[in-house]
Amino acid sequence: MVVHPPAFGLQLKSFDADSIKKMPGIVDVFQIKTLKEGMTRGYFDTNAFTDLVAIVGQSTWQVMNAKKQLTVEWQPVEKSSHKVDRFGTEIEVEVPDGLESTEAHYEQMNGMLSKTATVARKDGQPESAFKTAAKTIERSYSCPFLAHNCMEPMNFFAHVTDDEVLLAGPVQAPSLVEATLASRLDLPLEKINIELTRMGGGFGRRAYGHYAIEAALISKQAKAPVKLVYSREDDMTFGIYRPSYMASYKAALDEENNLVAFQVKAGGVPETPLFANRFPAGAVANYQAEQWEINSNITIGAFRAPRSNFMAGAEQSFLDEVAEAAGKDPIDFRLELLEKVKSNPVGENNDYDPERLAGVLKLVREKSNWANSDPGVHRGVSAYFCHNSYAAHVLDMVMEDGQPKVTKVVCAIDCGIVINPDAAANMAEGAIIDGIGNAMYGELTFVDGKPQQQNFDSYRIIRHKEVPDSIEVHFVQNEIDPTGLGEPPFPPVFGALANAMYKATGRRHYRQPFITDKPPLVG
Amino acid sequence: MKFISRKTQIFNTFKGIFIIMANFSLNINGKNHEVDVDPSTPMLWVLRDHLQFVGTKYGCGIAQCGACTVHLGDNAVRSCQLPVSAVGEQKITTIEGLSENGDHPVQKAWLEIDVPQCGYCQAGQIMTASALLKNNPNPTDAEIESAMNGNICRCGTYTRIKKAVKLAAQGDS
Ligand code: FES
Ligand code: FES
Repeated sequence: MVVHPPAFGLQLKSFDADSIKKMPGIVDVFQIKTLKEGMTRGYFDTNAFTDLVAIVGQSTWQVMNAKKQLTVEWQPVEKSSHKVDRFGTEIEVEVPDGLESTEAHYEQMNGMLSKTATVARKDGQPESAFKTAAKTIERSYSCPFLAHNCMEPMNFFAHVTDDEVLLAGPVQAPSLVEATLASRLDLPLEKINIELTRMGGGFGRRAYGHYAIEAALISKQAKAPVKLVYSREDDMTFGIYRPSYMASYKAALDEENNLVAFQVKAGGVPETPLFANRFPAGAVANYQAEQWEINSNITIGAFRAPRSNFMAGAEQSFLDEVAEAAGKDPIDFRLELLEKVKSNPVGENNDYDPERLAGVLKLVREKSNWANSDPGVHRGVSAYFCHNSYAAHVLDMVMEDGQPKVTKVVCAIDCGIVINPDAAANMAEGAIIDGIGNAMYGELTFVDGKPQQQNFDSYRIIRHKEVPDSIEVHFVQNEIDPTGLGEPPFPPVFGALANAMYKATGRRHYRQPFITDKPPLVG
Repeated sequence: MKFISRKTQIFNTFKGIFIIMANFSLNINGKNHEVDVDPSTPMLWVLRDHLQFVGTKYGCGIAQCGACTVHLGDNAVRSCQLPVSAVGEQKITTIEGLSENGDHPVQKAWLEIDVPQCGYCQAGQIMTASALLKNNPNPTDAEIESAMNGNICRCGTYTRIKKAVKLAAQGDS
């Protein structure tokens, strides 16, 4: 096992190997440095904790016990920077010092709402359109950091000898591990062999193969085959999270309730989630998209549908409110806008195909029997484009003992040709449950750099009782080449859930996770 | 040295003599197995590290996820919370021993419904479900939910699990 700092902003100062060396089963205790000093890091070499203590022993339980007894001292990191190869372009990444907290992050993010940000797209004259509008609506949305929490904690087997490196384990991007390890060990690529095992979940987390490198370095030093195992706590506190984001929206309606101006301003710790050219870009004559970022020493990484997993919920909740203000049915309202993009698009860089986005909305409207929900059932709708596919959900909710409960989700997806329909449906069902779980309960918070949730007793994962009884998945039949499916059904869940919760509770939810968000009653 | 626990001191005093190792004779999947381990070692690690029954998985180590579920007698237990010293004569069944050819009604229902995604939680789900049906062959929806609520599936296969448990129950009755 490895021992990493208990908080972001701390690093290893010293440790006393003798404090545990004589414990039963303990073979060796030493330091490893995952990355070479000054090296240009690969894009997936993200790592806040490159300086670790390794404990090698005969069995997992013995090492777990020894780990608890290890005497180790930590010290604050200093401001630093390193080079990263961002798909062919070398960039310099600044890492701040300090111990960060969730409360401070939210204060900083709230502060950004009133500041000018970088304009990523502008169509028409948004400023004057807002001034002359009959009605304007302004809202902001936010979400916390999330840990991937793959069911199988990070782990890897390694056997490193003088002339060969054999690795085996679960990793999403073996070729990236190979490249980093070759440079770390000064070995040619051909000397490194990686065998892949099934992954107990990836969700993006296993694109970051630092744990495979750690296993190799431990094996090299211990001169023995080793299996590196992360405890759940190690896994949850090592970093590489879904970032915390915030987005503010503004919409203007004219006298006839047409959407005449739209503004989105989005940012986060430490990256912006903005997609400037996605819906409703292209549907509004006066449009502006802006972005900002707040730097952090908490590491982030790809998490099922990066950035979309926040933007979809924010945008689709906001459009629901705008449709309501315009006195229109939420599906009709979206379809009207999509019709405009099709017949007379604003701008040239719209990322999505309006016809296919409208297609999933129409299909979900039909399959869910949208206009006729049962009494006591509250419905929310949402549709989103990402990873080259289109997904729309209608989510049904009831109030049970004063608590909202999702009973049914009907989903329509256009991802081109579906090759394995049953596995595809299973993937979409899982994405929907994952979306409900993370929107409702998912949250990783920090106090003085330290993750406050470290295992499943404090990090709430959706369970059997909270899952809808029925999920229906419908695929648009066409002959288009297949596109993404792991990600696309995930992001729109957040919006459909928020919109159904509004109907069920009379409250608009703006801050995830919704379970702890207590917004006022609307109207 | 800053922190020394009582346990460490004992070890230091005895200079690496494994005084608290002990021999246990265990009945697992109908066969006898001997292990020489610290009595506090959870069955999870005895199964995985010492006996190579690696179908039983580690997910949390604190009884929150159910990935490590095995049967102790007829009941589903979290093997991460079951010290080897507490097992005694009781029979342990792991996923490897649930049926000889993978054809337990629950396993068949799992195949029929095509439940798993990554698969990591599924051995635990199946062990919980098969213990439930053994003790309650026709559970209601609420009983299924209650029994299964301690088993997390991060991939979200819950709706299929519920369907498969019901199918297995029908097959049984
Ligand atoms: S590992 Fe035993 S319940 Fe999670
Ligand atoms: S199938 Fe992956 S955790 Fe359940």
